[in-house]
This record gives sequence, structure tokens and C-alpha cells, in this order.
Amino acid sequence: MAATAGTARIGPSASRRRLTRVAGVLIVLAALGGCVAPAPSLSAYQSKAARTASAALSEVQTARLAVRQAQLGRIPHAYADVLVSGAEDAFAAVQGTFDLVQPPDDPAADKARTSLDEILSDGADLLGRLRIALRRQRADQLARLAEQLAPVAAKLSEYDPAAVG
Amino acid sequence: MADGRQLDLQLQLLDRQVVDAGGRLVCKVDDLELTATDDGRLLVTAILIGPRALGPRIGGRLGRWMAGIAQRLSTPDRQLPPRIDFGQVTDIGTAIAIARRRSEVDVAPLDDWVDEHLIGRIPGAGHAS
Amino acid sequence: MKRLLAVALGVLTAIGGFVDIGDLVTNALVGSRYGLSLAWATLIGLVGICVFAEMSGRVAAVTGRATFDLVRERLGPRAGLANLVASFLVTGLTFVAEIGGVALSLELVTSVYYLLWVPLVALAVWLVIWRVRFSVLENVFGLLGLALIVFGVALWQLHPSWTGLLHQVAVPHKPDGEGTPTYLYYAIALFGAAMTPYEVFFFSSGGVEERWTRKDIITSRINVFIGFPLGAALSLAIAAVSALVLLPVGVNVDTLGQVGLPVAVAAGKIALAVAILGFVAATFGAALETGLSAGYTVAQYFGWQWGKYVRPREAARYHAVVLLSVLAAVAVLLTTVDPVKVTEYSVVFSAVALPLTYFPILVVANDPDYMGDSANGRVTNALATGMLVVIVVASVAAIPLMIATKAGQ
Repeated sequence: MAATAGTARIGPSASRRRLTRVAGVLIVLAALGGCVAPAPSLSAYQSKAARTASAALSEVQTARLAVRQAQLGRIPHAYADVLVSGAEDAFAAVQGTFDLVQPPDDPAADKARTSLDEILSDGADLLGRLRIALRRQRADQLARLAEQLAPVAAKLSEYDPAAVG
Repeated sequence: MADGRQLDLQLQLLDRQVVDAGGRLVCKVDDLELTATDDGRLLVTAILIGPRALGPRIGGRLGRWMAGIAQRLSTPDRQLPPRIDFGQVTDIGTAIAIARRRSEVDVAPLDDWVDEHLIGRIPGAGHAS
Repeated sequence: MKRLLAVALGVLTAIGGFVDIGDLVTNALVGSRYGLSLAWATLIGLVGICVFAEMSGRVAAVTGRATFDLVRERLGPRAGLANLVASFLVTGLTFVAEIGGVALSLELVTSVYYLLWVPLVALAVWLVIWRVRFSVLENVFGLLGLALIVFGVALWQLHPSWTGLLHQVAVPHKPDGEGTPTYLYYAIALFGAAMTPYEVFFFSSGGVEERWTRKDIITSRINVFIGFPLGAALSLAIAAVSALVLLPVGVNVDTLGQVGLPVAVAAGKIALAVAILGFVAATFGAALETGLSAGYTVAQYFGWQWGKYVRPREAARYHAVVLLSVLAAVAVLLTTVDPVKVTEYSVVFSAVALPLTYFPILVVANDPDYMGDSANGRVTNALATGMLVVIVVASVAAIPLMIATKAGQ
């Protein structure tokens, strides 16, 4: 009479299964909590604005650095192109995400949004023109546009969502 | 084989790699076939291989599903999981060595199928590198 | 003389082979945000991978069995299967990241969109796995990967304050304005980048492919104790140049192009070209390793014949898994997911999956029935057990921190 060694297995108990299911639901809820949120509180919105400014700053500075290094002959044209167009795309994404967030019903939030949006629009416009000038290999335009990006970078780095006016 | 060895199945046999006479890897010990002797002892009579042997050991719905698919895919003349007679075993160490060669022991129909229909058709399949 | 050359070659390939897209991106990213204040995480990861790889190599040399082979044996089929699924998914994710990394590197050279490179790269990876001899594969990509030493050169050219840098490493100081959870999240990411599981699968399976025996333990150890530390030195150099060039101007690294920028700033166009060569070699080499490892894990769990040392027809299922993994990786990349983002996630998931494979190896390395005289000594065990605690802590903390910081924002 043949038998097999492994057949005497006991499956997980009912309470373990329930626990697993509860844990699974909790993990899903926690993950979703980060995805879609209703209008945040004022301080949360201001943090979001601050983070947006610093992400936008990173892209502007990357583009400026790339152009500068290309002018100095330290990076090839293709490399600069990838960096600048990448920065332009990422900047647009950062701006888009920020604009989609519903601000809380507070004049301070609206002020933070308007002031940041102003800087971001400037930046987006300049980055686009920078990329065009780079691809057209117009060194004079590049130099000028890079110069115009400097105050944008300064404003982004000094941006304070809680500042009045 | 009146005087067999006493073994701890879990520690020394189950889930061990099976190696053939030429050192080639054959399979794992997915399960063991035990036969009761007249005087009430249990003898290990064969190594059982494949999803039909492993499924019940994995247990639960997944294990039943594994075994079920394998059963449905098998031909009528291969209703039981593939087995290697335990008499073929020559050594029990970090791996289980058997006396035959891999090609003589028909335990991997999936491998043969994949070889025939997929891998074997790609140029260069006959040379090791 | 021939033996010396073989060892030298092994060492050289080890250095070049131990930096992949995860190390490139994570170290540059952390350097640009935190300077060298997280260097301690890289260093702890270094100790961990040395201990882990040394044990795996020794086990492979003494038993002729590779890591994943032993995982099922020690944990049983159920736990082994859970382990297989987790390890395969993490290795697969890393595979996607590496192929993406090669494509991104080629984009930097040619300005041709990286997605157009992906199918070509995948084909090349598969062809090399299919046809090129294992030893040639290791040697060529290992040596080419040495190009990344240019990061050390760039660091030198920047004339940093060495005492300043050393101070940042020795006295970690979380920058103001950065939250502690995010700081710890990146510590785990660096740790995961240093200790990716596939490195150990590949190292031990490679040892079996090359028919290591007891007398190869010394080769294995030389590889580990010279290769990994030098790999870590390269990682720290990458972080340091990012800290010196990108951190002051507020650039946060999120593309491969930014990783190379500091080299150009420090040392010019030629140095940048060498760095890109290094990127391509390191990521391509790592793609080969992860592709092979995806096959190793599955084949070793089920007991199938695996490896390049036999004819593909004799290891048909193994090669089928590798081929399917390549196709799946291409499919994932063609969804236009950002390979850099995939990389950032893959290192954290590596940290999560680490205990699953570390623990069985620790057990086997201690087993006198298997290892005879070569079982772990007391010092090794103390170190290895200490690392186990760190690994478990990192693994448990990773997902909650990922959720809390929204993956490092």
C-alpha cells in the first residue's frame, strides 16, 4: 500500500486567512491614501507648493547647467539636447501636477498659487525657447535665454508659500 | 534491501536536487513514495516528480491548481506523477545521485516539449557556451 | 603567473561588475540631496554584501550547489515558492531597470529616443546570453565597467576639501529642511542598491558554472573583498561629485544625464565620454547578470538543469525562462514607464526581499554536514547575525516608509 510523504498538510487556519485579508485591505487603503486626496489643509498645500518650487528649480538649474557646459564645450550637443528637453518635459509635468491640486478655501492659498504659477509660466516659456535655440544651434539666443532664466531660478529658490503679497 | 538506512525524510531527502550519473541536474525530490512492509515499517520506494507530486505539498488552492493543470495536460498513459525507483539511488549527500542518465529517465515531459517546440528551434541550441 | 593573471582578472572584473543602474542613480540622487550624510548606509550595505557574497561563494565552492537551490531545501516548498515569487519579481524589476539604463545611456550619446533602443538592447542582451561564453561575458563587461573610475578622477579634479568630505561621512548630519522619514527611506534605498539579491544569485551560480571546488574559496574571497569595496568606493565617488556640483545649485537627480553632468563639469568632454562608456558597460553587464539570474531562481527552485555550461537543448526550460523574461522586460519598458523611476523602486524592493534569501544561506553556511571544516567561524557568524538584524529592520521599515514619504518626496 503506497502513500506519499507530503500529503498530511494542514492548510492555514481560518483566523490566519482573515488576518491576511485584513492586512491586505489595510495596505491597499494606505497606498491609495497617497494617491488621490481632496483639498488639503493650508499647511499641506503650502508644503506642496514649496516642494513644487524646489522640483521646478531643479529642472531650471539642470537646463542652465547643461547649456553652460555645452557653451564651454564640456558636453556634446546630443547630451545637452537630452538634458534640456528632459528638463523642459519634467518642468511641465511639475507645473501640471501642481495646477491640478485643489487649493483649500483660503486667500493665503490662492496667493501662494498665483505667485507660484506666475514664476512657473515664465520658466516654462523660457525653457521651451531654450530647447528650440539649442536645437537650432543658435549660440547667441542660448546665451541670452540662459541669462533670462537666472532670475526665474532665484525666484524659485526664494519662493515662500507663506509670504504675504 | 532488508537492511535499509534510517533517514529523516524532511532533512535529508525531500526537496533535494537529484543528479544523474554524468553530474547533470535531473529534478528535485518533489515527493516520496512510501510502501508499507509486512512487518509494519515504511520503506521509501520511489522519488516522485513534477507538479502532481509537488502540488499537494504546497497545499491550499495553489497546490491543487498546480496538480490539476498537470493532470489535465498529461496523456492517458501517464496518469500518475513521474517516478524514479529508489533502487536507482546511489548516494544521498548534498544531492541525491542516481545510477542512470537523465535521458534514460523520462521525468521531464515539459522540458522535452519546450526543447522540441521552442528552444531547440533557435540556431545554436546544440552548442554550449 | 597564469594563476596570478586569473586572480587579477577576477578582481578587475569584480570592481567593474559591481556597479549597476541602481548604484548609479541612487548614489547620484542621494548625493545631490543629502551630500555625503548618507554614506554610512552605503558602507553598512558594503559590509552586508561582503558577508552575504562570501558565504554564498563558499557554499557554492564546497557543496556545488547555488543559492536558490538551497533556499527550497532549507525553507520547504511553500516558503520556498513564496521566496521564489518575491525574488523573481525583484530580479525582474531590476532587469527592466538595467535594460532601460542601457537604452538611456545610448540616448545620451545619440539623442535617439531611448524607447527605440530598448528592443535592440534586449535583443543584444539575449544574444550575448545565448551565444557568448560565460567567462568572456564576465571579463569583457567587468573590464569595460572600470571606465566608471572616471568618477574618482572627476572627484579629484574638483579639488574638494577632503577633510570636509570625511567629516560629512563620519558625522552624519541630516540637512535641515529634509524630513527624517525621507532621510531613512533613502538610507534603505542605498542599502538595497548595495545589496541587490541578484548579485548573490549570479555570484554563486557563476561559481557553480565555473566548477568551483574547495580550493576556489580563496578566489571567491579575493573577488569579494577587493571587488565590492572598490565598487562601494565608486558609489561614494558618484555621490560625492553630485554633492559638490549639483547640491549647491539645487539640482535633484532624476535622470541619467544628470548623473554624468558633474564629470563633464569637473573634467570635460573626454571624461564624460568615458563615463558614458562606463554607464553602458555597467548596465549592460548588469542586464546580463539579472537576465541569467531570473532563470537561475526559477530553475534552481524546480530542480531543472540550468546554466550556460551545458547545451541549451539540455537546459531548455531554463533558457525559455530567460527568453520570456527578456520579452516581458521589453513589454514593461514599452509602456513608457520611466526606467529611472523603476530603478528607484527596484532598490527599495530589493531591501524588502533580502531576508528571504539571506537567511537560508546563513543557515547552510553554518551547517557542518554540508560545509565540513568550512562552516562559519565565530567571527563570521557574529558579523553575519548582526547583518541579519540590520537586513530584517530595513526590510520591515521599507514599505511603511515608502508609503509615508510617497517614495521619497
